[in-house]
Amino acid sequence: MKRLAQFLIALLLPAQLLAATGQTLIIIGGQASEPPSSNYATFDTRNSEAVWDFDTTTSECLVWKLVMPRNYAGGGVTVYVHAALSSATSGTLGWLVSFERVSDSQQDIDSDGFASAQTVTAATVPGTSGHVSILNVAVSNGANMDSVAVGEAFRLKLCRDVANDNAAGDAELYMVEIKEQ
Amino acid sequence: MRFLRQFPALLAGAVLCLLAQAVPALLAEVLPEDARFAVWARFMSDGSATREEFKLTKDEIRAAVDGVDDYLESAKTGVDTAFPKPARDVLTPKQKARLVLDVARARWEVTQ
Repeated sequence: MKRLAQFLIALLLPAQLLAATGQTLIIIGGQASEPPSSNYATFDTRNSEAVWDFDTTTSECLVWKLVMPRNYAGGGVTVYVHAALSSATSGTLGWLVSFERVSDSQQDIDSDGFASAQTVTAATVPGTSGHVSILNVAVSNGANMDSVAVGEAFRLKLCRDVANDNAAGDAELYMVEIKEQ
Repeated sequence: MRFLRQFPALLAGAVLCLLAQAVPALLAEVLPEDARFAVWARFMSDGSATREEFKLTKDEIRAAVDGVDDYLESAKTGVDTAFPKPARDVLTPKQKARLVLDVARARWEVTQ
């Protein structure tokens, strides 16, 4: 009887309430990433917590292979990057985020097909080394997300925007969240 | 005070790069761009490895590298004359530079 009631309620609920609009789609740490062939961020630990070091002079990257969750409603997403700085307590930190759709017969995985990088605007770092800042970029659906659709595989590339930030030393990636707008 | 403790590391980096060029003068010539870049990148990398705090941007640290190298260029004759004879005549340029580094490290307690 209870299950029947739940079924009837689900039938009556608007689809938007069951979708992920405004909700978290994916949470990832560096451990789940695949390093690019060169200029990759490197594994490190801080107080026994895994972090990934992104250099300050060479733009280093990490890449994640993911599947867009079934509750994705097709909108734009916001990518949140959580990171601390190894030594800098002044200056700014910025990131570049890119999507690559790997859907059914759409992308030859012998080569990369990332859409244009989306800029996480460089912002002032915490005044205490070890504090994590959370920066984000809103990525509209369509070309900027390489048209990733629900249930499709895709890759997310995160690089430090060394040309536009000025914090000295490594940035230490802590976590990444993708939320639907 | 913190910068004073970091200054010998900058000095050491600049001197080591000069030595790497094997120019037969005490402190060689002013570093080329790629060598200054290498000193700058290594200094920040070393600081990251030890999580030594910098309240400086990377541009400000690069200016410090340039400033130290320019200073060494202007002071190289004076540094050489600081060596009394017979050390001035007997020590090679590399040995003199090593002695400068050893004294600087001891003065500012640089262990790395």
